[in-house]
Amino acid sequence: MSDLDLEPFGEDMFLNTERRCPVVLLQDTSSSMRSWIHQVNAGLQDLKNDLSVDPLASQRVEVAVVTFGPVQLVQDFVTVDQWVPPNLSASGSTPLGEALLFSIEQLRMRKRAYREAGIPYYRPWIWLVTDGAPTDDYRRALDTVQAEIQRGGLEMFTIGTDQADFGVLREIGHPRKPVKLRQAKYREMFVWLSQSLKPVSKSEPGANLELDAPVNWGDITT
Amino acid sequence: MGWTHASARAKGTIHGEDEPCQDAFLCEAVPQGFIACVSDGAGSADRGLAGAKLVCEHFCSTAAELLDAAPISEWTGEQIQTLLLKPRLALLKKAASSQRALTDYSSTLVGLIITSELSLAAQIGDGAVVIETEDGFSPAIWPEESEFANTTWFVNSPNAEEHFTVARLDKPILFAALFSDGLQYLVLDHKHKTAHQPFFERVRNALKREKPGEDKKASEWLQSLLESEQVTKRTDDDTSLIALRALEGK
Repeated sequence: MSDLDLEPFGEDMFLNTERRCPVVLLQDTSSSMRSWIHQVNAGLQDLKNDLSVDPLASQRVEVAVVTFGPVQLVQDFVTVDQWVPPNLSASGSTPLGEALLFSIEQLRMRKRAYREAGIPYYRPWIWLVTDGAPTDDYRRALDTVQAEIQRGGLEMFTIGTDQADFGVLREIGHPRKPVKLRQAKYREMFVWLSQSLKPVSKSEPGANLELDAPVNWGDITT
Repeated sequence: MGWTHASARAKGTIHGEDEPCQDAFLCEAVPQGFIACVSDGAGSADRGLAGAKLVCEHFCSTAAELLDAAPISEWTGEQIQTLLLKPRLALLKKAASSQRALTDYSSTLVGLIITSELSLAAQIGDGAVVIETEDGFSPAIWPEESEFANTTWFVNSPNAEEHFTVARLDKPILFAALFSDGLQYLVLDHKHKTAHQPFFERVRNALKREKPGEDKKASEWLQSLLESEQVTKRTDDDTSLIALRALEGK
């Protein structure tokens, strides 16, 4: 079938353009999280392991880990294949407002770096997990996040455990409803995140993100 | 001036077993020259392939009608706009008659109309047209890019007219390639907005036929190219490509 006049394909025929999908893991590490932080850490490892099964996704998804409180950049953006998940510990308050503003700023700087390097990128995600009410004034952060969501510049996900303030989370993530984490199922949650990121980090353009329901780890609040 | 052409399309591994490739293409020789079109149905659109086929069909028929009426140099802005509006109308009619949402047919459009005096490239959404002139290989048009790699505009987008890009090409076209976004990142340098020469040279050289019409061997070669590991390890999207080469004085 192959015509000997036509030479075989060479690697030099193709470029290896990088593309990136930036994700901020915004994790509450206040003192009330002490009982669960080891589950969060195991979950972060699960996220890495699951994404690593997909070579395209693990080279494109870039993870930054921001914890609060205090607000800290534990991990600057790194592709999953190069990521060593951290061992987080819990102590401190819950400055959610400051943490959100900080995350938005990290994303802004990362997008600028992509543009300067000519690297196409996907719409960024912020994955917020919190177990309590904010201890700071979050209103300015709320306005900034909502403006970003409304201009189509951000996918915001809010997850809370039972002591979280779902009213606040609803406002922050609007129109996407907060998910209530069931029984500290952090590991299942992070695997779900990985499964959701895999198709998103590929090239299919589409209007809306179509995600599976978080059935095995959470309940979408109403 | 006659044209030899080849084309291929491959379903990306991103699709499930029973989902079809969502790309469509069409090309035809006309008395005044040649018309080619590639359209990519949105992955999220239930009837993306049907939309893409309609877009190609109506782009080509509209271009042929416009050419029959006047040379490209005399086309008004409004006439050029019909290259977007007629395919869009076809999608609207199809959605209405099928009682489906318009977005079920969301598709992009990458088109090229070649005559010996002047050529026209037109585009909405991603994908690209690369041409070869006496100056070498270059993108004929660099479309307006949306901020994110996973969003784009479609023929049926509410503000499509604002995102429809058109380019007039004065130099004689020796070769052209039209392709959907699956290949875009593999063969275009996005930082410098240039075409990756080794790829286009090979494709152009594969078109060996010296008579007008489809070069079937080249089409087979293109098909195996799109299905090759070199492509599938770099993208799991649908890929499609039309390539055409000018034949001297035929």
